[in-house]
Amino acid sequence: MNQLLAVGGEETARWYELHQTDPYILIPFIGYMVGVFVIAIVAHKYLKKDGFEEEYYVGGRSFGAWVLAFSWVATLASGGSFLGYPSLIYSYGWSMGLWVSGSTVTAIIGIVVAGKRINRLARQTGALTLVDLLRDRYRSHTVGVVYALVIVFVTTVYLMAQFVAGARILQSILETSYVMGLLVFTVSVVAYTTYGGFRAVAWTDTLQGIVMIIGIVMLVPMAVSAVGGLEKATQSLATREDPAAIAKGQQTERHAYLYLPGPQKFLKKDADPDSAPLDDVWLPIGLGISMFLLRSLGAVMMPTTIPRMLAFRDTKALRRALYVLAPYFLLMYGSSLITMNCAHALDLGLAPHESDQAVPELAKRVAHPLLVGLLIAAPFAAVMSTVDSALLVISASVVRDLVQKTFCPNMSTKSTKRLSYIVTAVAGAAVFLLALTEPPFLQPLVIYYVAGGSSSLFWPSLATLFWRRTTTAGVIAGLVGGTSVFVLCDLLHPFDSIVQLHPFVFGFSCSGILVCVVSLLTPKQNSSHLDLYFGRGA
Amino acid sequence: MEAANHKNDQDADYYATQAKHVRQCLKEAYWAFGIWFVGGVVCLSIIFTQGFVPVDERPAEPVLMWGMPAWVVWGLFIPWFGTTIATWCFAVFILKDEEPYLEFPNAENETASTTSS
Repeated sequence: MNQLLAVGGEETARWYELHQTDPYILIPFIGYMVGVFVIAIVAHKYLKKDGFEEEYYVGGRSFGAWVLAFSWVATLASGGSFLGYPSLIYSYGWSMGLWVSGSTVTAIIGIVVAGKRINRLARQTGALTLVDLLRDRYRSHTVGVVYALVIVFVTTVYLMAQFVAGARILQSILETSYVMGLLVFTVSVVAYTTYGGFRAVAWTDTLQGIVMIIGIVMLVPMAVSAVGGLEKATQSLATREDPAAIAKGQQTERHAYLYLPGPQKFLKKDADPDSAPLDDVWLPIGLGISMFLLRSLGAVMMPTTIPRMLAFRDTKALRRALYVLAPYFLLMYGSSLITMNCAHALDLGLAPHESDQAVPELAKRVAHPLLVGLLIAAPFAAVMSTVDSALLVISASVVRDLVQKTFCPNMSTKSTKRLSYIVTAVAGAAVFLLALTEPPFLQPLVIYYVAGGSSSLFWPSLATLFWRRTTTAGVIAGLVGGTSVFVLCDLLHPFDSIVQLHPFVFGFSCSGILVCVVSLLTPKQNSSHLDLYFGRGA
Repeated sequence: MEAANHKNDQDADYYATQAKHVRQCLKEAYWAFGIWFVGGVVCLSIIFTQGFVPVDERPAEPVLMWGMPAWVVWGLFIPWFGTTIATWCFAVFILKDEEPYLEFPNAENETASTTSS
């Protein structure tokens, strides 16, 4: 413990000064946290001895529209949406509008394309994870193991970003060190996830989804009013100096914060003129197209949202969930764009590397103390709802997909239960250690997860659901090829001199081609087995 | 004999229903991708033509609408309203639940859940 605290250096002394924090901020925040734990305790009662796994991983497949909608969106909208993206708007102004262009169609593309089909097949096969479904469809443990490993890898990167976001919020609200914030965050989220399982996660996600949207929408009138109107805020941005350009001895481009591709970007924490551009944030046209594809198609097969597709009750629930989801993204990102562009004019006094604190700092600045706790709870809820889902995904991948299905098919319920608890807790502890490195920007890590996940998982999963001709070899080729090409392009940027697209586009395209070509080149699967999935005469 | 016939009928029902379900899901997926494509083309084409303005051509007074740069309103918020309404229409008119849920036929189910290395 002392060693962990020492990482934070002199800041760690603040752990003993929690009493200095404003109680008006802490009271609603603590109320929210108590609500989360009460939900976990109630959800735990559903974890009966019989059917433990179905309850722990898919909540008994009983979720209605509200739980489906809010738990799906709360999981999708992570700390990246409520801290990372606002931080980029705070840093780069209206130019970041292009970043969320893909979110205009996320609701329909993200949950409709695969949701209904996955839900039905999972019920029919008894699958508790997407990997279960694929393993049975292809009758191949190899597919299951490769899929599970890819999921664990990309989800761990994602979790790390979320832990950092959670720690930063607690660092701000408790006025403590980053390490102590991280520790408090880890213990609380791992505890309720491990104890309550998927039902607790989905119920708390619902609460969190509601808190998130209320919080972010409430900030809009407060921020606009504090700055004296949106037009005034934008006019102030129009004359804003670009610190990156100044550091290089250059002049700020005219209206750099109002037009694309926006002001110059830095990679390092300080405004070092020799820093390389932060490619994931830079927005020439090619990367604009990439971001559109990423933010829409990337939502379809995200490991953290797939469990919701396995858990909803029926199509009626899906339809009603769409009514809620369609305007949710508009409200969420639209509000962020407006509030964070107002935040510039208020001069929050944040250094470039502290911009992830922009939402909590703005809330402290413009809201009544009684509301600040709720407003700060919103991004915290976004982080928690993503972390709990990701922890369960890792737990399911390890326990269900790797250990139980591959190595110990006769594992008892008691052993499964114990192992599920242990893996969830160990995954949380492992990510805690990774998060101690404290990366400067969250959003690139979030993008890395979405990009890596969809590069590898999108086409193999979609083809499994809709294309009868897909084979085991095709799926594995798509998975491995998509992941490899994405990682290589991300590291080496081999095509940048030809066309500036995000590495995701290359991995994604390569995966689709490989699934298609390799499937056609390898023998068909047994027809009678496929009839179970596709019927006859389809 | 009668029991065998009954099982065959049940299986035939299952396969027909499953095929219908796949067709309906494909139809819904095509609609979803259609809305995605139209939304994307509208959104990106407006943003690219109005948002990417060379520095020399930017007006001295920025063109604002509702307090925001005009390209944000036309290229982002208005298409967003459009896709929101399209999604609601999709949920009402396209998304169907006409295929009754049926369990996997027993014999095949056992086969399906037995995977090989």
